[in-house]
Amino acid sequence: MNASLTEQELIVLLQNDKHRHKAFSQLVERNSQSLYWAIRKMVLCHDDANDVLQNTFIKAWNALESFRGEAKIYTWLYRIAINESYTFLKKQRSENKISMDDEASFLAQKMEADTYFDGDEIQLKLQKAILTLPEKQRLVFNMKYFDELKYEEMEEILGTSVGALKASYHIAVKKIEAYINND
Amino acid sequence: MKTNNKIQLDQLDKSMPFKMPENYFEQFAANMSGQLNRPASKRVPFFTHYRNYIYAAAVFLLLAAIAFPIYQKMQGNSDIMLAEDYKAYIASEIDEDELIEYVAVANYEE
Repeated sequence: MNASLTEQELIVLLQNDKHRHKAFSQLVERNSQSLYWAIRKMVLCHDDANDVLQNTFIKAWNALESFRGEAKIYTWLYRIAINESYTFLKKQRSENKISMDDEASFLAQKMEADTYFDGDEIQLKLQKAILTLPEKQRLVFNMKYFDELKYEEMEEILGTSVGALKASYHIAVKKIEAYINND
Repeated sequence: MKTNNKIQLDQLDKSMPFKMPENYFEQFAANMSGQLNRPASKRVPFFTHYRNYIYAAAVFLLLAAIAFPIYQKMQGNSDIMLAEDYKAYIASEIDEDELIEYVAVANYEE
């Protein structure tokens, strides 16, 4: 299979029983890194991100027949990844009997204890500041600040208006700067 | 670097403080391929899958429909039996002379 398939070509192959498996493997190779990082920024620990990433692709595989190409493949996958991340975080809160107010400190402790956390003091402080944001705002902040997505791209993925995204990001920045500078 | 001694977000290093195992993405892709290679579990129709339980439930209901009226009748009989047992017990505990005296006094008071 040609590695430089266009988006449309890939969609056609994904709809074809004979080529679906190979086309999906291509899809995994192309998108797993960026999806991993989007997930990791939400769930923070590598093992959890790995689980959520697997679930994302399994969900995508099972939903292939209903995917008609109205959205870009990456947009579609990103939405699944976000939903799977939210589901994971909700399940984690439930299993550990954590309220949403206590979740920030729970996740911060878990992140610091993770073998695959490799940050300095300011990076740790930044991540802790981000954890104080509501879930959706945290996602918006990560998408804009770290991934440097355009608001229009974020609008397509999240279904939230550009205006609302700008406001959310602006408030997030203020909160984070206040947290970082509050010694 | 601070402006007015305050850190601003756009001045911070944006590199992620997270790492992952070596060759993680290569292994991930291979692992996913293996997972998707597993044959999808066949969808078994509800009735076929739970057939034995449905049959057992139907037999149970049939037996219950037959047994319940019989049980109710037996309950009635046992109530009568219990009442008879109780009368016999009371009779054994009360002295006959005391009973005669009681009845006589009761009749007098009426």
